[in-house]
Amino acid sequence: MSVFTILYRNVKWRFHNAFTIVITILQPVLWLVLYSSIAGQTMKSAGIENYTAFILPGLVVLVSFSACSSSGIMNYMMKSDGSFYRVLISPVRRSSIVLGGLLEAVLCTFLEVGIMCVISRFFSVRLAADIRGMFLIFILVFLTAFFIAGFAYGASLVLPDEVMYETVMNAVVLPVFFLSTALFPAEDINGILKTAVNINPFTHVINILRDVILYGTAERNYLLFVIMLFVVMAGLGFIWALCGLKKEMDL
Amino acid sequence: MQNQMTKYAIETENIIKRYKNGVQALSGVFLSVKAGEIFSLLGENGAGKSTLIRILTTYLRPTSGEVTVFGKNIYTEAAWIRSQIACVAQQTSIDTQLSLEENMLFQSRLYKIPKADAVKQMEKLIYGFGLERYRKYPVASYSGGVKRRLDIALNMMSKPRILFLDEPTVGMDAGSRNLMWEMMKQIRDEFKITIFLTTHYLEEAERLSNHICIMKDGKTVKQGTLAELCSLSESTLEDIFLHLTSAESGKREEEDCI
Repeated sequence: MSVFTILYRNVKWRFHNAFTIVITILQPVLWLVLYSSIAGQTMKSAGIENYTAFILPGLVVLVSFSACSSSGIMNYMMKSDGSFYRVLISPVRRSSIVLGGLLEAVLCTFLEVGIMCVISRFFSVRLAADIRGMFLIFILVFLTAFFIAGFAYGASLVLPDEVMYETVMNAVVLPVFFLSTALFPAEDINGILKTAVNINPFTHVINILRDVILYGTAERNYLLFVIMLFVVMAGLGFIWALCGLKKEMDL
Repeated sequence: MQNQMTKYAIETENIIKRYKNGVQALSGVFLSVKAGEIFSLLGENGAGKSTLIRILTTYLRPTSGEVTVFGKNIYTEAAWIRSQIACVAQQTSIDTQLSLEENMLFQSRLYKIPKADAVKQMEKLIYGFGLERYRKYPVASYSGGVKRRLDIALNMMSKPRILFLDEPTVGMDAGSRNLMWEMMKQIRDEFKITIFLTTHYLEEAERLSNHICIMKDGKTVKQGTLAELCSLSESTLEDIFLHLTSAESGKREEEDCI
């Protein structure tokens, strides 16, 4: 129950600071609306009929990064003006404190993904997924956001200030985004770049999301591999965040 | 049950705290705080008062030394101790995105207080701390004094047995400070809560405390009632404080040791 108490407090923070929702969704929306329109013509020659639909899965991952990164900022704000210390000396399990924080980031991600999907409909993007496909999308987005939220939460407790935090998150997010199949098909890449793209776990979640969104289905073994990969990553993200919180009290 | 009857709310023995960056904040703290009293920890800036509070509130672990709260060991029973204490830190810890009532109820949920009891306690505290007329205003718009009152009130939602107050009157004007002092006495007398107060205002310690402890350079150098401290040298608390915390005194003590 303490998880929901922390979650409720954090959700209230999010809506109180609603600009964080606008700011974090702004860049992915610009990619969706502007970039897809501009690059769409070129991509038709590569056999991609609806480029907006093609880049939507990558932008879902990008919006997860944005939303979850901003939840790390919440830690800094609550440390300087809020109940961070008061919560830590209350009889709430450390794991509940972390979980409440991560789930808020996941909820924010879902809200922003929902907005992205609505906007994409104006660009003729039609989800081919049935109920089972929607459930798969839900699981994949949940695991992706949970991992990123754990990473961001832990980083915000390890890094000394907001400036350093923002710098590190930008240094991580942009290479991860561009070295994936978010903007172009993997078949067009060769050599070391292809290896880098294949090593990137987000490449695989984007591929699966794309298959489910565009064709309503995904290759079973590949799907299982991606889900298991992200279950492990989500677990590691949670442990990293928990260690960060415990370290906060071990100065 | 035996622990519930413990005479001392807090007992410490030779607490040492060396931060990982090498700073030695505490180098020998011996304290005994009786249940139900106002205990003042007096010391200059950098004496180690805030570090000590952070240890006693289970936020930090000491490098070595013994600490018990109502007879329970801080190393092994931190979770139980957390349910018995609350701390008003130097910086107000109000969530400005929550309303006054939401802040207080959030605190009660952290301590798993049943809703009906929480609402009853909240009404009592809102009335007791004169916060009725601020209910409908956003918390962010409150003045510093009102925020401080709300901070103390919400920390009392869990009916703590020990309330830690870390320099609660810093930066307050004379009127607000007097009001705060009355409030502290009220908390001790009406709510029967042990108050552990850190301050560097001598007048505050003099007017409120049952027991006073003077700290210098991370060590406790004197502890007793105001009468006991003053009777030692037939001087005022100010004289004693200045004598114990001055650089000269430190040198003399070092020379004595050599």
